[in-house]
Amino acid sequence: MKDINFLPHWYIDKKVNACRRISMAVMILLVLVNTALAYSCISGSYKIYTIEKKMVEKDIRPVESDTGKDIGAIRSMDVFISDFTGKFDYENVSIDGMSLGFEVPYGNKNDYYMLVKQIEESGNYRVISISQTGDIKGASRLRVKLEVKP
Amino acid sequence: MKKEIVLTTATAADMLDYGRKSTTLVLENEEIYIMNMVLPAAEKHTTWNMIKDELTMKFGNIDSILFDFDLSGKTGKTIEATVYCINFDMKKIVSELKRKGGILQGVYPLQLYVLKKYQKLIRDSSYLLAFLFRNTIYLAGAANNMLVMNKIIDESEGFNEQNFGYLEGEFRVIYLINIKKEAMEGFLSHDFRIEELKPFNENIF
Repeated sequence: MKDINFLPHWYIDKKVNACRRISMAVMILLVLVNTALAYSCISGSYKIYTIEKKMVEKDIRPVESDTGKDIGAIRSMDVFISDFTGKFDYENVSIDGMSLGFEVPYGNKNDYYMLVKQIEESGNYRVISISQTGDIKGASRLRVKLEVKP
Repeated sequence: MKKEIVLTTATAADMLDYGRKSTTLVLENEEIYIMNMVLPAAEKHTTWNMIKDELTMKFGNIDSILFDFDLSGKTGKTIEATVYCINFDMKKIVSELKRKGGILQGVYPLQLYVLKKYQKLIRDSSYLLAFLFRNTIYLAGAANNMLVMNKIIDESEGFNEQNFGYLEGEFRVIYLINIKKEAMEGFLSHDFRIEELKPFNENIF
């Protein structure tokens, strides 16, 4: 048998109207939230568009990654180690990209000739500078700056 | 703690605080007026509004009319609705209930409430239910699981052929609650099946 419920019709009407009011308020709230979201989305995309436009006008390019430089330093180190290790007592090695610098002990001119010979025979370097460091009386050293050929 | 409170119209006023609980109100001594209406087929809410308008036309002011309906037939573009009405002013009780924090979930006349409680024990689709409560005999007759008649008789009028005899033509089985089988056997024919169900007292509420 169907559940026959004698709730007063005005009581049901009141409940239905309250439900309608609540659902209407929720709908209005949703519309407002959606409008705010759409506005923020549009304004954000417009800002990006104007920035991109300005960048194009001023020919600004995004900063390139310096990964290539890191790879260059590693390659320079590899080349340097394979060419000089075991042949010279080098110290204070500094590598910056394709350029590298180091110091070797300088006893007499033969040391200098040996170094130049090694650099020329390997054919991997371009000499930037060679300078002498240390006291005149004490142990003297040669400071060498090279650039690894690509 | 009970989530639902069931009160009769007599006990509703005694309740001090409903504590925002679902409340079912049971109306005692209220006979249901049953009528049939033929209406255009429509959605449930529209049908409900059409019945409301029909009742307004029939009774004028329906503020004190409680009603519900059940669909008894459907033929093409029309439906047949069985409308149940009670004349009872609920405004005072509802405002009192609201003031004390109750949430009205249902209003049932006693005969329908008892029928609902005993539904699982009744195996027939057409039957007569009779029960005695506070010196009043309540009758509720169902055919094809639809309420088709109801009657309220004072106990002093007693069980006699005048009150029950004519029902023999309509129903073949009678379920009794709080009434002994013997009270009926004197004037009902042997074809009439009489079954006694478990009695209830005021604790049903």
